Amino acid sequence: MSGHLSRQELIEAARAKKLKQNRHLESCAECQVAVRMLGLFPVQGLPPLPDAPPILVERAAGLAETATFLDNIKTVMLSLTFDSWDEPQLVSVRDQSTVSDRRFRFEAESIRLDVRAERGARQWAFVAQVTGPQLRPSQVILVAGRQEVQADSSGLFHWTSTRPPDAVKIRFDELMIVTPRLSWKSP
Amino acid sequence: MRIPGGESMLSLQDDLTVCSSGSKPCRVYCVVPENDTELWGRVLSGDAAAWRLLIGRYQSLVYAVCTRAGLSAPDVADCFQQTWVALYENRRRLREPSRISTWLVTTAKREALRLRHRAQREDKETDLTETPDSAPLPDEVLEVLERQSQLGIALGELDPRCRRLVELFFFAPEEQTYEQIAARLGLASNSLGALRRRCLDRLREILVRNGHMDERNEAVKAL
Repeated sequence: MSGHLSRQELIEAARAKKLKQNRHLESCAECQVAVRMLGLFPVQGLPPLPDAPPILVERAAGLAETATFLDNIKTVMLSLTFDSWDEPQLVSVRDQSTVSDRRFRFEAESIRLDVRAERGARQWAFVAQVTGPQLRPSQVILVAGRQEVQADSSGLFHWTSTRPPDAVKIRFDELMIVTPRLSWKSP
Repeated sequence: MRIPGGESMLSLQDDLTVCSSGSKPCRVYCVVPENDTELWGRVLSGDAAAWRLLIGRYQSLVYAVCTRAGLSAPDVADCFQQTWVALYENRRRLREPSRISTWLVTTAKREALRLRHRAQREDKETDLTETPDSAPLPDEVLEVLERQSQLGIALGELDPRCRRLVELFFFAPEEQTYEQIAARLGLASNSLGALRRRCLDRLREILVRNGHMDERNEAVKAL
């Protein structure tokens, strides 16, 4: 295969804004194809893209399976009926302890969700309770961000996180209730 | 011929017999992998296996974008998952499935920057002294990642001999002489020229079929 351009020559030809005067390139269809390919895909010498960890891939793949299930269940949007950060405070009373503690109440269709958030030095601690007719806590899963939490024997959900969730979902057998998107910008 | 509903299979071609509609007849039974548009059609019909194939195709690309934003490991995981969640939730609004790779790169970048900004805000609040690098993911870097992904997918559809030849010629870390490449492939060096041409032609056909290159041999614009 003597006479053909080396890889470096092909790469330089591909990178040149104007094709240099190269007698071989003008007449060699094979090298022309190679130059074109190298110009379109300038990835010579780069290592292959690393694979994502299998657990991440599995979780993403599970979206379609979960969605098929979720398509068949009813979703109820909760309304925010109380937020302690929205409550007016007496002058000079709002201090750090008020900001680091937050309480919500969400309601819809006789279902009530109470959430308390407490901010520690490095993480948030949450407690939630959902009440409503014919609800058994053992059937309920609370979803906050990436975490899924089951209720304890008192029917309370406890979890901690370095970041507060954007929303909270409660999953029953054929029902999903969802809070509106939450903002955690300090008042 | 395609096997409906099954896993995409690599072509069983040998000697680079073209096996697609309107070309030479196959000497062997050929299964042609689906391009993104075809795969997307199956996703829209609720085919979870097609969704899994699509993730398999682009998981490394999305992961590469997320890891280059300087995020913590949990945030990389969030960036990865949220990108796929966004694609799935907007699946019926995606107008150009042939450009899914571009959509994924754009969305992963947006998620990465959102998580980065959130981390920076939190770092300020906890008085960490280290200032995170605030440079966003430049488009030039993302374009190279996308090209790498597209080329990787196309190379995976080549027969093993062509794949090895193209990798050795063009994408190995260090340049190798024709004699070295011929020796590694077990071929006479004077047969490499024609083989290289056929392999590049085949690669080009795959890139065109996948929508990553158009018939005029131009790369479909990334980003």
